[in-house]
Amino acid sequence: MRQNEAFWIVIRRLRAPFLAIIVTYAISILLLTLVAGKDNDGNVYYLTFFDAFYIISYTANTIGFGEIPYALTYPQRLVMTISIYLTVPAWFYAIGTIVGLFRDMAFQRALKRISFRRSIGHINEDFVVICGYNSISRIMIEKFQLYGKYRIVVLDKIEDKIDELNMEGYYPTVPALAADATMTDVLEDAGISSPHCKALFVLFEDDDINIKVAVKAKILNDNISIVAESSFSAGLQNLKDVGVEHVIDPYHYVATRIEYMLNTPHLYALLNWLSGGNLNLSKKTKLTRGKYIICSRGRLGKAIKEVLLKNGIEYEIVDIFKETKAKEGGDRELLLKAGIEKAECIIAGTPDDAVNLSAIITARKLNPGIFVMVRENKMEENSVFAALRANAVFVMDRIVAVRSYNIIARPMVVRFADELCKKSDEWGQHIVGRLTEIINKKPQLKEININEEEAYALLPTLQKQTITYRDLVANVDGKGRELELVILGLLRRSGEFVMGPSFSSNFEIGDKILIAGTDDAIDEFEEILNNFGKLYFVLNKQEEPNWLIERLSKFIQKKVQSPKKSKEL
Amino acid sequence: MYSEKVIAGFFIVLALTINAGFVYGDIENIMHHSVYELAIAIVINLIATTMKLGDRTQVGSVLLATSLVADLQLFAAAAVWGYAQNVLGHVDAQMTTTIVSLASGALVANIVSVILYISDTVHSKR
Repeated sequence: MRQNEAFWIVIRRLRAPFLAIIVTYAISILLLTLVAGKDNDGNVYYLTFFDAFYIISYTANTIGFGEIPYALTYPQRLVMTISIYLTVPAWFYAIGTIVGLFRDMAFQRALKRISFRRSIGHINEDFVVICGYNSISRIMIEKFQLYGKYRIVVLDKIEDKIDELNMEGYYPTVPALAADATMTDVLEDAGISSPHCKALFVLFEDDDINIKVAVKAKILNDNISIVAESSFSAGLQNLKDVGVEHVIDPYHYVATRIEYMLNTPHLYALLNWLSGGNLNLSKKTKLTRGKYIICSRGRLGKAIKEVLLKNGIEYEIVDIFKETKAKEGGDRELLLKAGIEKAECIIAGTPDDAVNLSAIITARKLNPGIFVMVRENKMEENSVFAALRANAVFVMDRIVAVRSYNIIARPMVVRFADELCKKSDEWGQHIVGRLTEIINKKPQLKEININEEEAYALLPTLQKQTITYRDLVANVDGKGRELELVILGLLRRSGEFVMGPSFSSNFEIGDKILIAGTDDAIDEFEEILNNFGKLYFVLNKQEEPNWLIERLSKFIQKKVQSPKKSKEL
Repeated sequence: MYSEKVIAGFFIVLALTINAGFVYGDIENIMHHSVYELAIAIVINLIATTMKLGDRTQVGSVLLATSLVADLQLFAAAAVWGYAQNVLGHVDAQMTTTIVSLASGALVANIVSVILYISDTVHSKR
């Protein structure tokens, strides 16, 4: 309502300039019609209202066509002089005020708000709302734009950031508004209560803001999925109580990954790949047990500490961020004091990239063979971190962004990642081996629903016969060529989730499958599912008999035979 | 007592009275209808319209609408008069009828406006 208020206040401010013009015009016109003039023959002539209005109209804005219809008499000129000094300033005052009003920030904001609301109203597809425009949302916007199933709406408090977003020139356009997302009316304008709105992302650092937005959005629309960030266990519970299904705790994810690295390196490789990293498991990601130095005091340090305690690993926490900021000591002394020379691993996890970089470089000087894990806060520093060649880089923003995106766009991937902890490292090794063996390059992920839309040809065929994965993937051309893809997960209609289903599993209507493969293989697989001819060929290793061609060939055979018969006759 | 309310009420009622004064008289006889009265009626109506600008209540919006209707009718009357006087050369009975009936339309709009204004005042608790 506050924004609307501004609009009305601005309209009210138009009153004064309008009144000034009306009153000065009225006085001048009336006086002009009352004063006697003379025509060319010397007869008395009174200006009509039309004449007077005409003269004042061109006088007030200083155009000045001259004295018409006849040269004015002296009394008339006296009135004209008064009129000029009345109407010209009134005119300028009015013009100045009106131009000023359009430049008024509050008024412009109100106009922007109106056009934002209109553009939301015009979206006829499903969309998601992202609160806050930062490096996290930038990654998400790019991913969602590529994915193409959802339009995006962005809210941010800061006007400059919205300008920055508009400069990006996204297509399809991303409607954005500079407003406080904690206000109910702002959320309403962003279309939260629209049936097209499918999800809301609140990924602020501040848990209080996240919960405020989440509660309001949940009241406005109970059907949307809310993805919120929280790094306190209390805040996490709080969000769950409110009804937020997806709570993201980035520090917990980092700690979990360290645990995977410690115990199940192959599962770690899988997890890392699922969140946008590389799949290969090289020597430098092999983590050994020994003394760990954690350069982080805050929430990340706490999460890592718990993991290390659980695994019985000796650790030392160094508050390098606070001490270097307070100029109390260089990182060299601090690291030496913590016993860097005998340490096995250093985790630089402060919220300051410069501090992290400096700690790592110093640590490497003191202990060249040390295992290095580093937290990257700002995406802008990407090339520096790449040059560092750390053993593991945790990009906080990317972790949050990819996870958030996956929750809405690729729920199977999230499910797969969450179920990984139930599997052994041998299983992980098997899957990683299969993936690298079959696909070699960076595999793509794809979720396919076995339904009318995504498996058009398969569905009617399934009603007639059972089809296993082997039937469609192995030997697609009758000469033994296998599609370069791996079926990672299967979600049965009953809700049962199978990790890495075997080749002899059956396709069933209503299943969802998660596959990884090369782009070409995924395309071909989709073609098999949707094209009757192709599906028939893959299943029977021969072309589908065509009704028309059959008739034609029979017809031609007859024709060829019949002349012979006539000759015989 | 708000001075703003007094001024607004003054102009709304004045727009009606002057409008009524102009319409009153023989509908075919131009001598019964003063051109000055029409001019002042237009000015007062414009001022009344401006006073209603920016009132975003339901009643305020309807008041603004009625006022705009009155303005439109009076502008039309003035335009017909100007056309008859300056293009045709004289204002005959037919033209007079047109002018006065247009102004009567404006009168109706002004009456509605005043009724709304009074009912709003009666309804308000203070």
